[in-house]
Amino acid sequence: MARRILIIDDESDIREVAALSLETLAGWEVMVASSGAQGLARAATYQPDAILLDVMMPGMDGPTTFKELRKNPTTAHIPVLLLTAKVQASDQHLFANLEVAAVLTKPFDPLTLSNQVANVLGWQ
Amino acid sequence: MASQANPLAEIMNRLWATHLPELEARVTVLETCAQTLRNDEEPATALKEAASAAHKLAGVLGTFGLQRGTDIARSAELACDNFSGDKAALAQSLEAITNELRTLLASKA
Repeated sequence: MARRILIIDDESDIREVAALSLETLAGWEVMVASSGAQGLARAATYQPDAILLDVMMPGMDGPTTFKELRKNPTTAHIPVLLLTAKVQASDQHLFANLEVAAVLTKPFDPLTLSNQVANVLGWQ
Repeated sequence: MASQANPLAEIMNRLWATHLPELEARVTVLETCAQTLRNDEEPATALKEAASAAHKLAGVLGTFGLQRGTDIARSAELACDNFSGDKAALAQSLEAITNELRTLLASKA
């Protein structure tokens, strides 16, 4: 059965490239959300196998969205991988204390994104 | 990162064309910030908007194969986030970066 991934990112170009990559190369089923609030709702109803979550979003940012996912018993178990262009050492405090599965950096390579995700989650 | 020989190339090219106006608009935000600095206006809002636009450019350009674009957009983001007060210097830096970004975008278009 195909893995199901939820991508939460406010940038449509990133959402579309990531979805293209995961659907085409890995054959996974992808759902997208353009905000933290929309992502929370979709995670609860869609019950994905994993979530790719952007860090810097207007409104509810990635770390806050992650904490809300963990508070909800229906989404608390879903592995979350942060996706961020914040790569400076001084930015690490944004997610240093979050128990996420991984922090992936933007820009990502669309040819290898699914392998990165699979490796982190032991889906190989 | 995305090469012409990869299985996603054709669709990636279509996505690039679709999102190019959005990318160009982000460069315009950086140019507007440079002009604000040149005009010796209060730059706080322009700097915040420019840092956000540069952050988004840095996050996506490399995904479309323009790693150089990611690198210079990231330098613009850092420069705006860490503005020292020297408006002329930052304006000059942003102008150089936006000129190169325009060239990079045009080269792929």
